[in-house]
Amino acid sequence: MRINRRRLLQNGLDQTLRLGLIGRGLAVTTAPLLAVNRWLIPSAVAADATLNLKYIKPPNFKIIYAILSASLGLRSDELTPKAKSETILTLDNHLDKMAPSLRQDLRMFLDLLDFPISRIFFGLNSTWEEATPDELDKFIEGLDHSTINIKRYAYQGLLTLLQVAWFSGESAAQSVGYPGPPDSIKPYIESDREIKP
Amino acid sequence: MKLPDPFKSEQATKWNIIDGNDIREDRQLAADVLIIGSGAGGGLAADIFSRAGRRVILIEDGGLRTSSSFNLHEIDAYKDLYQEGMTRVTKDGAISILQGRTVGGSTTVNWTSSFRTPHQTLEYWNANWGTKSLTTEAMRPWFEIMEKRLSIQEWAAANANNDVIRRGCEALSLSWHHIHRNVKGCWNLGYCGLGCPTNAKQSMLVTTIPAALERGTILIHRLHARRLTLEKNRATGVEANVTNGSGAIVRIKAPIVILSAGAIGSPSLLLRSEQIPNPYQRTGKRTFLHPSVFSFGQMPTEVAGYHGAPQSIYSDHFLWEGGTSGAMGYKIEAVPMHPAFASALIRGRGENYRQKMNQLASTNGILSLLRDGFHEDSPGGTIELRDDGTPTVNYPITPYLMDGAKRAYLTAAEIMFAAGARAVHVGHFDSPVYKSWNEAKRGISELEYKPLMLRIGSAHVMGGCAMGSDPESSVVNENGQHHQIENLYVCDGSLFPTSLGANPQLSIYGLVARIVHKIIGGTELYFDREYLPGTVQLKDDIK
Repeated sequence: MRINRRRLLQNGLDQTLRLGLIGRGLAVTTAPLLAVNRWLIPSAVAADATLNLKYIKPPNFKIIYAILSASLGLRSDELTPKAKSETILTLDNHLDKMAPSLRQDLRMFLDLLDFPISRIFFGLNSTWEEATPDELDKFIEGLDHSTINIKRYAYQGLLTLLQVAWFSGESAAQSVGYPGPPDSIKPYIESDREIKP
Repeated sequence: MKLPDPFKSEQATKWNIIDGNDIREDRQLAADVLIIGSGAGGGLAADIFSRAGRRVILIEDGGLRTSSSFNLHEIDAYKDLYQEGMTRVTKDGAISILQGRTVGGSTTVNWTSSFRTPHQTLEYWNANWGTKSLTTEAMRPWFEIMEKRLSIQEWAAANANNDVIRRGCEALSLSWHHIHRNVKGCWNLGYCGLGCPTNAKQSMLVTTIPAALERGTILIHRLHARRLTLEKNRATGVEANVTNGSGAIVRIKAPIVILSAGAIGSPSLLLRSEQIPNPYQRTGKRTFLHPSVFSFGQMPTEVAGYHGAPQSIYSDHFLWEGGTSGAMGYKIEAVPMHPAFASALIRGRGENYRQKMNQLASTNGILSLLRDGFHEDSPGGTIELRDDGTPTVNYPITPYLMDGAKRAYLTAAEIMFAAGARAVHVGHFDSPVYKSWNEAKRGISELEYKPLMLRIGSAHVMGGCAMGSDPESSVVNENGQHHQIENLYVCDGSLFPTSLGANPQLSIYGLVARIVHKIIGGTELYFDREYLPGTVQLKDDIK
């Protein structure tokens, strides 16, 4: 089932969740969220000019960083500006390869996490900026263990991408003891690699 | 310094390779044989047909990436060489599916493990699908030829990751064996899944496809087969789209059409081709995945599961334990532990997850591959088309499967502790790090087994165009020929009526070699003599 922003706006959150994510054979009740109006949905934000992002929007950044640190147990000093931008860029590049319908689901999930009512529906009462590590931990545990498949589906889709994006980074890989390819092949492969949009 | 890349050689300048992205206007092409998909089935079919003097056009959805571009960075490989950037999942998101999408298909990125089709599987097909001629003895020479052709040999140099399986099995008196691999001059790097930079892996990319190109085969990559065309109950070819935004359509006509787009691509192409008869609604049904679950042992010394041949030891001790009608059996193999890949298999949250990842260098990974499709409680999945025509697999997770997953976790944990693991955890969100076998046995039994709580992966998609003697229960006959369209053949893993209980590439090679020789007819074997073992006698079978 194709989901787009227009449909999201036209039908409201509940309807959209039913059409899109329930299209994957899942069931959810989101009746309390029915009264979503157009003006409550965050407006489309232009892609970040510096990184030339195609899918990830600046309002998504804080959500991604929060989930990254809470899910992967990262220390704040590991989330350096370089690591952050590389992860965002890697994630955005990867989204380009996804099946369009999955990408739209993921995009919508990020939008919903940014929107107060749906953020609360997904289990986080505080804003992303104000959430404590303990609140974030409970939020993620709630998604992991939700009896509502849609929550587990959406969260795990995002989590897997974040894990792969994060541990593709050189410093993250080194931090868990990965030395890179064996020395015998290193002279033959591209050593200076830049992540390109 | 550079290593040789066959596609950058002087010889390659004469090859007919077309990038679909360079096509900006409609084109019409014709050949004797059209092959859709360049993986294990398509690559091999191109080789044999071209040896027989046929003009072949081979098309591939993915791009042409060759050894000089394999930089061993995980994310680049996952993004560029795998279907949907390695994010393909079943409809409910519960099973991740790894499939190649590049010239050479999954053979370009598989871990090289090569098994003949188990005799139990062939016997089950024979009894239940009427594939009478596919006996172990009849298939033996085809496997022998392909083993010779692709340098498939036992690999005895197990890395520490695989050796955990050997030691654990020996301590528990479980059977284990070395794995055969399709490699020649392997550097034992461990990066098979990211594309082999040395061309040691004898994938279709460096064996059959160059051979076919050398004989004039036309390869068109980055070309998406939209639908098959049909006239008077015969397939006439394909309509394919380029993906450069130009909207150009490429129409290819051929009197023989070979479907080799893999067990998601082939059935979905048939389903998109509404003219193709599907009278009993069997197309895209009974799709099997070898759903695999993952376990991790923290060993006292470095394992470096990212280096060395990814898979070299296996145990089938529990694969057929209850027979085909019993509980779901599972094959035990190693899983390579490159950090991004392992990060998605290891489960947990926050500090629990971080602690597990911090042990990566000394962590052994075992995958348990569940043999699906042999039992009525394991009906497999269904290929469905989304509104945009892209396929998805609807694969319900049954209690039968979850029971297999739980027993597989237990076996892997016991093997790891028997091999000396200090601690073990499994790929389940709630898995703590178990410090002893007794603790693991109790804990694993008490985990909640519901979809999306445990990581389930699949690197083997099978079925969906099942072969069989009865058109009401199968799509093609045992010669790969479509039941209703006589010049349309399936040559890939979608042929299998069940899963295999073994990594599928050699089963595909053997079956496809046999099918293509039958299509060509006659009694000549279209392989160079160097590939023919002395015992091979195929003339009667080819007739």
